[in-house]
Amino acid sequence: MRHSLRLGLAAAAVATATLVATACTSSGGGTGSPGSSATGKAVSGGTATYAEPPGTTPNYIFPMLTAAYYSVANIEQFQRLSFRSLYWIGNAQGQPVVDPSMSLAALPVYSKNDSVVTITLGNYKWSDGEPVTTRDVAFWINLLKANKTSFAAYIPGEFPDNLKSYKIVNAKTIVLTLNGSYNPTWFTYDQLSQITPLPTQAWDKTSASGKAGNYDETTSGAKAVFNFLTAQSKDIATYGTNPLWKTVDGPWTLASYQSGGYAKFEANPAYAGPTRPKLKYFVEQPFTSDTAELNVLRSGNSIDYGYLPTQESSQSGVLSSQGYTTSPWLGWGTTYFLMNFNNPQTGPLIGQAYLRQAMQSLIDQNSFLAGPLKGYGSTNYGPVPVKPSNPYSDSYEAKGPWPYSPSTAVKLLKSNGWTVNPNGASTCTSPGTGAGQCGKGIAAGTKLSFTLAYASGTEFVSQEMQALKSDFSQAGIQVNLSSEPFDSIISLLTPCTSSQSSCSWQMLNYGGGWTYGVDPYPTGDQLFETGSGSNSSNYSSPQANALIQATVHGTVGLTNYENYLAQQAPVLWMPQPDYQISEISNKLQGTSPQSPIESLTPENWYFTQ
Amino acid sequence: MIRFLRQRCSQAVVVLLLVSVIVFGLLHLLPGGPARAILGTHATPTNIAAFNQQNGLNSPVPVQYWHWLTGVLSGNLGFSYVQNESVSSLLAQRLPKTALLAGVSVLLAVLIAVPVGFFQAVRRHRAGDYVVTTVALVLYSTPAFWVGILLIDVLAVRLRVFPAEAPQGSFSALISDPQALVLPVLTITLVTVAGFSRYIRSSVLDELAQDYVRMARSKGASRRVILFGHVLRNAAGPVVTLLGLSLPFIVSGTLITEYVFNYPGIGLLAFDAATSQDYPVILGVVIVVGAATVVGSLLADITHAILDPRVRASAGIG
Repeated sequence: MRHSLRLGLAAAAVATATLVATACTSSGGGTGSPGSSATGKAVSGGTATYAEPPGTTPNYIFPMLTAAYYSVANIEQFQRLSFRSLYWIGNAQGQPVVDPSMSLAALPVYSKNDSVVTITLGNYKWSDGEPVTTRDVAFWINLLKANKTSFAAYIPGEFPDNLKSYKIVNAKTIVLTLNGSYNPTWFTYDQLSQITPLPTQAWDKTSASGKAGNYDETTSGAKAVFNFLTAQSKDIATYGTNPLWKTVDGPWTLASYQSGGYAKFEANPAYAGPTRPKLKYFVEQPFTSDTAELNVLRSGNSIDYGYLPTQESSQSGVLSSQGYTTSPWLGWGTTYFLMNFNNPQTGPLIGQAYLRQAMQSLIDQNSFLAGPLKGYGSTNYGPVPVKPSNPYSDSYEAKGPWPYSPSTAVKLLKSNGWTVNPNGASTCTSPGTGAGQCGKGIAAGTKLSFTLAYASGTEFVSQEMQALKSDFSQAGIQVNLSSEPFDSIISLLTPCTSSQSSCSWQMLNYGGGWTYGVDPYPTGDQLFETGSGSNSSNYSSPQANALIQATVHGTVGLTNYENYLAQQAPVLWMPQPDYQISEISNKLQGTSPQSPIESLTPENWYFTQ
Repeated sequence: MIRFLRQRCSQAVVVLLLVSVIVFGLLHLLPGGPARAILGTHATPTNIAAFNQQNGLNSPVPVQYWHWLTGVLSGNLGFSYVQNESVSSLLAQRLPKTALLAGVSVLLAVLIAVPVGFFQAVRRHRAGDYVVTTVALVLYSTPAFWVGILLIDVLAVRLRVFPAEAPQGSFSALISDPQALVLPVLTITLVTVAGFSRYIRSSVLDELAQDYVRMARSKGASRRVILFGHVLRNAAGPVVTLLGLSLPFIVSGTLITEYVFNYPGIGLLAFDAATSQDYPVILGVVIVVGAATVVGSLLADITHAILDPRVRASAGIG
């Protein structure tokens, strides 16, 4: 054995200490910080109302949810209020790191070359008075093993496939034996943080009238329990009354629910976490248009925690006079648009790193930030987000190896066999695979011309694309823009081969990228590894694969991976828009920081007189 | 009468069937398909295949339509994978709310439009008629969303008299907060009353030119008896037809108002469904609006026949 138990423990401790230390010395992003400077006297009770933006309404309560219900609105802003995960992501500084004080368990201890994980639970209780035990953790694992293909977050080869066995040592300690060595940080963040202990005493049953038992301990029983709980979760008319959903370990219990996403939570008096709710109720109110939500904000105080649509950011001053504080909410994700490496016509061009780098050099991110995004966003040059501040981002990636520089783009093209025609189409005049030549599969006379389909309906995306077309023309890269419905664009987000008709797209921008929600350790194993399910641009690089594998199985950090991907530009990195421009009533305090993975913690909120 | 009803109901079924075929076909021509729209950008091909399999979306379109139709005939309008609820349940929750909004608005519109239209007809080509006509034309040509926004800006934002948003939650929550219903009701009433009053004015003017009015005058009937005893009843016939035919317009027309005021009715449900490719809900709403059209038309015909003996005679209704 190369590593002793002591070394393994030491490595885990150092990794954790580094993360926590870095987290504690940095400050969160955001300009306004409501809740950080309470002026009035705190009062107990009251109802805080949170505005749900269009299309982000919760509608599924069972935490082991299928792909159709897999959303931030369901997981982070609904289920987590009542059912806490083993490890809570998002600390008091607003960083995407585990917060031990908010987690159900102490930080895991890795041993035997990081192939054995020991988890020790804290003193949490279910609302019926029963303690949260390792049996409840095993209940989740058993349900997942029997129904893994139904769970939206399941990725073949990952949890629970990488779990060899588990052993309940006692009510507080459970030991997981893995099928190999894993990076402790990756395993804790991207695997264990998905585990949500479930109340065995209330949920391990196969019918509403049946008694709870140990059905999950057999595969058929676990399937039956899963089917029962799934069916109950599809009966949303009973969400407010079904006794199943009343057994919670989180700070909130769902009191009532209306189809369309209206949810009213009441404080759970038995909550054993670090901060008990001061509010009596927490209401999530759906809005199907930004206009309606803004009108309500402008007209008074019926919303305590709302949002300002980016296109209406000029209204910030008006809302300030109404008693709201504007507070940008920074999400944990990276924004980019895709280039198809397998397109029969343009794939050989996209395969040339110098061309991708030239295109990246033509994206004026600062101009996009100041213009279309109205200042609500940050520059983004790689797979690991720079903001909110975090322990993973490296200065090389953060600064960007290919910042806006048309002269660099022109130079890259000229030095690789292209005759540059600004405002026209540059032409390959030196074909071949040698130094200074255009590269493999590019014939003489080939012109630099691409079709870029982007999702319509989002103002800033349209503005960015128009500006990008102009910027690209400086180096003679023609971009033919095509605006299509969002659903039409995202229907193409599937890996393809050059012979498939679905591979005919050349460039694709759906206005987003990747949000690191349930995979908060941003390794890219789902995005950039050859053949991975969400590698929609069909990027394939042995070196990138090796670097990604090192972040999953080794003990190295993300630096090499993120810097390589930033340098290679397998996608074109775009500025990262803020998740939301929050408008928070000055009477509501305790709302800062806003969670990087977009969860809600109204147990920290309170009104002031 | 029974034969008349049977005939009209048969026509209604055929119309609804045709509408459902057209809408079903058009929905499936939309690019993208519902799977990716529902599952989002993180979904893998495996997720999409599983979703299509579970929801029967990988079957040929005619087969999908047949499944849907047989479901409808057995009372099952399908399940909304976006809302996580059966379509019947969604419609049952939203329809009463829209009925309340549309019903109160139309009632108010009629109560205002009838006397206004009467007044205009009786005082035609005088100052009062011109003033009311001008106001009516302004309201008639103003889109509902603009009226709504103006009302919000003045009455909610500046004066803070009424809330800018309709009550959320259950139907009982809706009616327990009547103040919050004022602006949406006022919006629909204002844009509806203009058209109604113009129609009533024309209808009354037509009646005033009839021979029976001259006969009544020549026989010494008082103005009050002529206007309220004869003209009103005869002028009401076309108005009833107008109301019946307005039913689908009102049901679907509340969409804009519901959108502006975040009113949780069937219009907003349809809007959400359309933007999220929620096929079962779109079809359910189309069937409901289609049924409202047919029923409205049927009710208008029957009421008109009851009010006007000439209609009964020409339709052969005994």
